Amino acid sequence: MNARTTRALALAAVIATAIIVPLGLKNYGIYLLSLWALYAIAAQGLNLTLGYAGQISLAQAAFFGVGAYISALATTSGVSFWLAVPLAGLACFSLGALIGFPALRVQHHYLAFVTLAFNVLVFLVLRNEQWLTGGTYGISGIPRPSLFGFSLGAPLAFYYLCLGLLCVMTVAFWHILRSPWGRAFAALRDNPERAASLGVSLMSYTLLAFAIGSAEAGIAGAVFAPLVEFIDPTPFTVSMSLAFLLMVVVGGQGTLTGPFIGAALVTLLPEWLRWSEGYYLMLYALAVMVLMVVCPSGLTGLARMARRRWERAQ
Amino acid sequence: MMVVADPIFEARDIARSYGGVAALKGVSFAVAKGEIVGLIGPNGSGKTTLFNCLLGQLRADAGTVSFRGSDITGWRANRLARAGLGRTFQLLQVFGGLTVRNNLIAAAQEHRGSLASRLFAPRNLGLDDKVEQMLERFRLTALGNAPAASLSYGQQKLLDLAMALMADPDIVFLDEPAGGVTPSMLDDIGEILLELNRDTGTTFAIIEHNMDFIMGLSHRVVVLAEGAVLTSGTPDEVRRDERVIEAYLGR
Repeated sequence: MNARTTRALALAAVIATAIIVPLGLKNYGIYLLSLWALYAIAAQGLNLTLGYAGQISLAQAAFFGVGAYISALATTSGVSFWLAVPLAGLACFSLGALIGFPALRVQHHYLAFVTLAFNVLVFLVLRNEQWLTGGTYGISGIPRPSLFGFSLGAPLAFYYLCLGLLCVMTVAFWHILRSPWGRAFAALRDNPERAASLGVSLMSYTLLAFAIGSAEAGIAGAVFAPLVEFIDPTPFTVSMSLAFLLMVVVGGQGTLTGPFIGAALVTLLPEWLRWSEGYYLMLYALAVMVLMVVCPSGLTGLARMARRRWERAQ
Repeated sequence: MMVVADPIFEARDIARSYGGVAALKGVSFAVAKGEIVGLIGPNGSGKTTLFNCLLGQLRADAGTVSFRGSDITGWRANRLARAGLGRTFQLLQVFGGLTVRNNLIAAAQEHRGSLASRLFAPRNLGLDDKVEQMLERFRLTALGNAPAASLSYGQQKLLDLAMALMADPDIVFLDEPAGGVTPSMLDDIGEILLELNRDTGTTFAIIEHNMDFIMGLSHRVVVLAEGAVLTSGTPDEVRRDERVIEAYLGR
């Protein structure tokens, strides 16, 4: 069996698992899985900006929020969900490109602060512009969509919508990375000066990385709104942006599978650590610290290390 | 300065200072089509600063640059590359994380089609033949799928040069191609450059400290000293020029 078949089989097994697992779960478990799928999409977007294009962003939750509010406002005023999702994606694509401009001038922690400030700004708009966003009261009664007359209102059906979207977004993401764009992103991350001297436009690709990464967050957010059925500004703060960053870094930035694992960890680990009651956040923090010291390339890096060691032992 | 007939590339009165220190004091530098021009001068004479000002890595304080008769002053590096100006850097720069083949494709892909069309174009953009040809010319065929970072210094130097040539530029600026290269590999590099110049008419401007190498290769040599052109002429003329000897000895 060659590597390609192995990989195809592994992928089929993962998808089958994602389809079968929720069948034995209660509503809350299915809700967590839906959340995982949407977080994974947003983290995948950040992974493009951070892991592949090498630009730090602490505003992923802001785009997630903008997507959620666009979807909530549109669907509560009668616009189709299926129109609201691409609309949210498009809006965040444009907004993301705009946020990419500072990245042409500043880098690293300076850029981190610029994007962080943008997240705070978006949060303040969501909280203070009550006429539009409902302020702290938020927007309630966000309807769940139906597809070809088949209602996606039930938790399981809605989970399959999230999972389907995750698959579609991942295929699109994979296509971008396999295309000449992916090579240009890699070249720019490796050596921007050399890349420019070979004709690679730092401006175009940096803005694209931000735009596409933000669009993914916007699309995930647009589905998040009907998942929770009520939104207010609280889930879209800087601390959620840090959580998205954590997903990418702990999962393994610059890898296709990293954000999936990272998102699973951030949504599921707190649940698994419930037995420890008040200590679970501390345990969680400790686990992340140990991982980052032992293996800065994240969990996918840890898996690579383990496999290499196993192969050597054979 | 010597008048160059029918220049493909011409820079006039380029000036640039760092803080209060003038690194370039109005340098004019022209290259004729099909010419190999050597640019020599003591350390700190402004050679690399000049290249960086001409090729968009640095912004010159004053001066104009034209290429094939059109004004290209102030163009960004990526735009210059797409217009047909290639370059290497003093410290070799390859994409360590990419394979040798991907390094070569990355060096030419932005010259193919529009940005949007490249998202849906075949992954290698029809550059495979060109890549194999380059690998063969630079004796890197066996290493095509190796990550560039795993190559020896000399091999990376060859790859670096091959990348600058991938998009068939009209003029190539090389910053110390002989630096850190073994004598036998240096002969290979010299041969490849002469071959390209003869067969495809590629024009070269080359900064170099290795005098035997640059004097053997160049049609014409320009000497830079303290941010200004000291003299220029055939290798023989420059070699005999007392001012050049003085500049190097620092009298």
